[in-house]
Amino acid sequence: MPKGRGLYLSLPWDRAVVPDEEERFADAVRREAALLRASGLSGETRVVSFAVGGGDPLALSARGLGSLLRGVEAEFSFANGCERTCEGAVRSFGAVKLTALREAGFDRICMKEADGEGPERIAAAARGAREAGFPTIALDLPLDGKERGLLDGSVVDWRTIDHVSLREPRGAAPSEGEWVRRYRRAAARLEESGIKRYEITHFARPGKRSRALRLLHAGGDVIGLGPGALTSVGPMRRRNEDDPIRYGERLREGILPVREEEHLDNAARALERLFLGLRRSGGVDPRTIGRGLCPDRSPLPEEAIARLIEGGFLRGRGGRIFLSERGIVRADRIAVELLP
Amino acid sequence: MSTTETDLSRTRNFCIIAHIDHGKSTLADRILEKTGTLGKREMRDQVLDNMDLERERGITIKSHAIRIDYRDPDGGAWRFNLIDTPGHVDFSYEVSRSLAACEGALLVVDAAQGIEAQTIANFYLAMEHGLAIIPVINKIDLPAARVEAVEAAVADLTGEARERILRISARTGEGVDDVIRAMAERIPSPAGDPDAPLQALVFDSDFDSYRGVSVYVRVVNGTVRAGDRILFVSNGAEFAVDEVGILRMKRVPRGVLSAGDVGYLLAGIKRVRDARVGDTITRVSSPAERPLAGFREPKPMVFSGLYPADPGMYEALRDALDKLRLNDAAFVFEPETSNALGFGFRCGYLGLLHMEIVQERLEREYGLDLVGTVPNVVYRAVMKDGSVIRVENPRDLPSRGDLAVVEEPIVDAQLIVPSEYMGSVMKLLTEKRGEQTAMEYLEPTRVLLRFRLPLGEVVLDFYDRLKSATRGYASYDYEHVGFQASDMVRLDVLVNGDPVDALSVIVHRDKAYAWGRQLTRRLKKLIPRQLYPVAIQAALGNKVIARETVPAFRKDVTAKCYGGDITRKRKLLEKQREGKRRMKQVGSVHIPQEAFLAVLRVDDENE
Ligand SMILES: Nc1nc2c(ncn2[C@@H]2O[C@H](COP(=O)(O)OP(=O)(O)OP(=O)(O)O)[C@@H](O)[C@H]2O)c(=O)[nH]1
Ligand SMILES: [Mg+2]
Repeated sequence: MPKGRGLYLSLPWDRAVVPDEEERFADAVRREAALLRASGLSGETRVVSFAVGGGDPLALSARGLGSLLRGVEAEFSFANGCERTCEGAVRSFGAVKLTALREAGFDRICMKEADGEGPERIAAAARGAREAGFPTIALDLPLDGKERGLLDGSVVDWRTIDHVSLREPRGAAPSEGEWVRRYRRAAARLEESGIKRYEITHFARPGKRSRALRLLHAGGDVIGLGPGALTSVGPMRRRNEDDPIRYGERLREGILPVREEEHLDNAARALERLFLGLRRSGGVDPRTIGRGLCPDRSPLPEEAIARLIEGGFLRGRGGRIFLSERGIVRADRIAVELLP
Repeated sequence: MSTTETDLSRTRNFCIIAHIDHGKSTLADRILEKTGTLGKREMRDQVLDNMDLERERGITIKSHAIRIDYRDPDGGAWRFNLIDTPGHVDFSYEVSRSLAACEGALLVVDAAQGIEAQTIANFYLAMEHGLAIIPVINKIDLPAARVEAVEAAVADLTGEARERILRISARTGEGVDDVIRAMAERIPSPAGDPDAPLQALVFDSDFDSYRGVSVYVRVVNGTVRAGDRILFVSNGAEFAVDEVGILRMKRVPRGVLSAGDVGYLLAGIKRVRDARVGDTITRVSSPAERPLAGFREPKPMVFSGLYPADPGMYEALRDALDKLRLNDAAFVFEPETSNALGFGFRCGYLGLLHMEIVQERLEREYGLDLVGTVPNVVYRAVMKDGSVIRVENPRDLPSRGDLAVVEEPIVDAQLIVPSEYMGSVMKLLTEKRGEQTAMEYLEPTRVLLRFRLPLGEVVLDFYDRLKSATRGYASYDYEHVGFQASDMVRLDVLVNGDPVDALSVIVHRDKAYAWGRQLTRRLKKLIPRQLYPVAIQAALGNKVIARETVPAFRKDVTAKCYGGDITRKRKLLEKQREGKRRMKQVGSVHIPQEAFLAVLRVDDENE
């Protein structure tokens, strides 16, 4: 797990708004960051990954975005070489925006494919990002059936893409069999292109794995800013007010806009580590995880592990367990089977 | 003291008997009110039903005795001992005990429903005990009351002149004064000699951990007071009496109980077993020559396995069962183990309501989470060498080789049915392997049917089926009459090839195929999908007669794990883990607890 913490700024809009509103929002975020620091939550450790997303940051004016970033940066200390990601819709990554983002210090873009955007657009955006000098280009890809045309490489040059996240499409889920077929086909194509799976739905070239995701999946500390943002520090889980207006109001009253907060016990944290760990290519160590899950601190039940290995759902190597191809498509269920 | 307060000739011991819900406890309320026994503040509906379960279910489960001191309008002083009894067939032994302590009975009949099965059964029980019977038609305030017709039928049943049948409303109190007058006039005073050696009949007992066993007695001859050394005739156990007294809403100590009295005694008795209901108590120094006629001990006929949902609660379950048994002599249990359910107990009950109540008390009063298996009746396996094995658990049915014949328990049942539903009831009875023995019209539109049928067919779902076949307008009562050879076989259930002992049932061979099909189908619905497909088979011996498959769990591929999804997913998995914990594992298959009762509802499935 990368040392340090993650920071995520969640924006409420995915289209342009009036400058006044941008300014009000930047002010609210500044207040939130300051309150977090005052509460001690921003902590000693440095920020090693910073991401802006949720809505579409590219819909903001350059001025608005700049003022937002300055507000956050003033309250947190960033490590050298901090990963800085900007998420946005494919269509928003025009040449001007890309240059501005690069100048603002972003080194990673994550393109979210909106419905109906063809491979040509993706190919163009990826090329543009390379030309603007982005070292890492990530793509979010819904398995809606159209990914097939994309993955065959005839339009998109896969060498321009470093990181791919597969996700379920909006709308009705396809049949069980179709689902698995699409996933397996996509995974195989990506592996062929040198983009390797490091988590069930995340694939990257060597050295290009997302630090933000790795923190999340390894149970690291991640602080969320903005409406609906999620914070996970140690055993604490917190979710902000979703409504941007209430979010702003609370901050003007000088109160953190927390909607829900929960403190996990050891068993709940171990359960998180188990199902998140199983999803990762590194697998989990059944001894250490089991210790948190069982009141008597015993390892995960060997009998269940043996049964799952025999059934072809798990593989064991070097004292760790990993999901097999068969297990990958039943990950959650297997986590439950493993629970004592 | 007791004989000086009121003359024995002004003592009346009686119970209130009726079909379930005909208003016994409500009539007791009115009598307690009108005799000034309970003040307004103490009064509430069915005040004698003081167990939580009784209040919640609105039924009487245990008999309750209460002493009433009454001054009539002419100034005469009376002493009444009233015993309210339960109406449900499972508790009819409570009724017979209560009858043994009395000289009279109020037979209550609902004016809208008329004579029902337990009306008849309880009437004959009271007759057998030689009691004076006062027929009372209750609920005459109901718009649906059919007072004339019901009165005619009651006159027919009891042989009582119509003018002597009382018409009352226990709800409004109308006619209750007449009941009180009739109690004084028509019930004989207790015979008995206070100067003879002590003979007291134990008609009930209960236990609390503070004072031990309270023994409820009817003193037939002699007297008993604190300090006396008493002897239980059946087992020779001796105790010194600490306290005697009468029963109000609470126990009220008195100096002495003498012939004709109903009351309690405490004698440092620690085990209910030592104070068997039906036993006779006498004095050590001057014992009576003969015990009183007791009554048959209720014998459990229905058995089922009871297991803690959490295996760690085994000891707690055992303690709770031990305590329950202290207050319920009809309930028995012994340890058993099952491959699916682990360590538990085989428990014996009088019937399904009894079973339900015991399980509910365990869950509620002792906070236990239980898995029960399908109830079965007791069978007798007659072996080729002539020996007989009592089979309380289907898996104990011996294999074909040494077995000569299996006998199943048989009951004589009486059903009262509106004639319009005769057809569907006859069909049900035939399906349940019943044989009609008699039929009689009680009223032009109501028929009394007598049937002989296997108890095993009655315990499972007979009552529900009868209710739905008659829209609730039928009642039934039954009595064990013995065992009868039948072609019974054991149907086993296998999941992924592993037999699940707790799902085995004994059924008649003719029904085995239908059961097998329905049972596997029902289990298919109850067993959730798992990582593997699950094969469910029903088998007779080695022969599989039905099979169903639960397909494997639906695959989930991409469900991403971003911030919010993590918490949501964790909560989902926690819930699934909880679900898994509540299931029992056989081989690699998780079986939910409800599945162990699946057979109970087998007949509902009409696919
Ligand atoms: N309308 C009307 N309802 C009555 C009368 N007597 C009793 N009830 C109602 O009938 C129902 C049953 O009354 P209970 O007194 O509990 O009957 P029970 O015979 O003691 O019942 P079990 O002890 O369960 O056999 C209750 O809802 C009473 O309120 C009556 O005279 N008129
Ligand atoms: Mg009652």
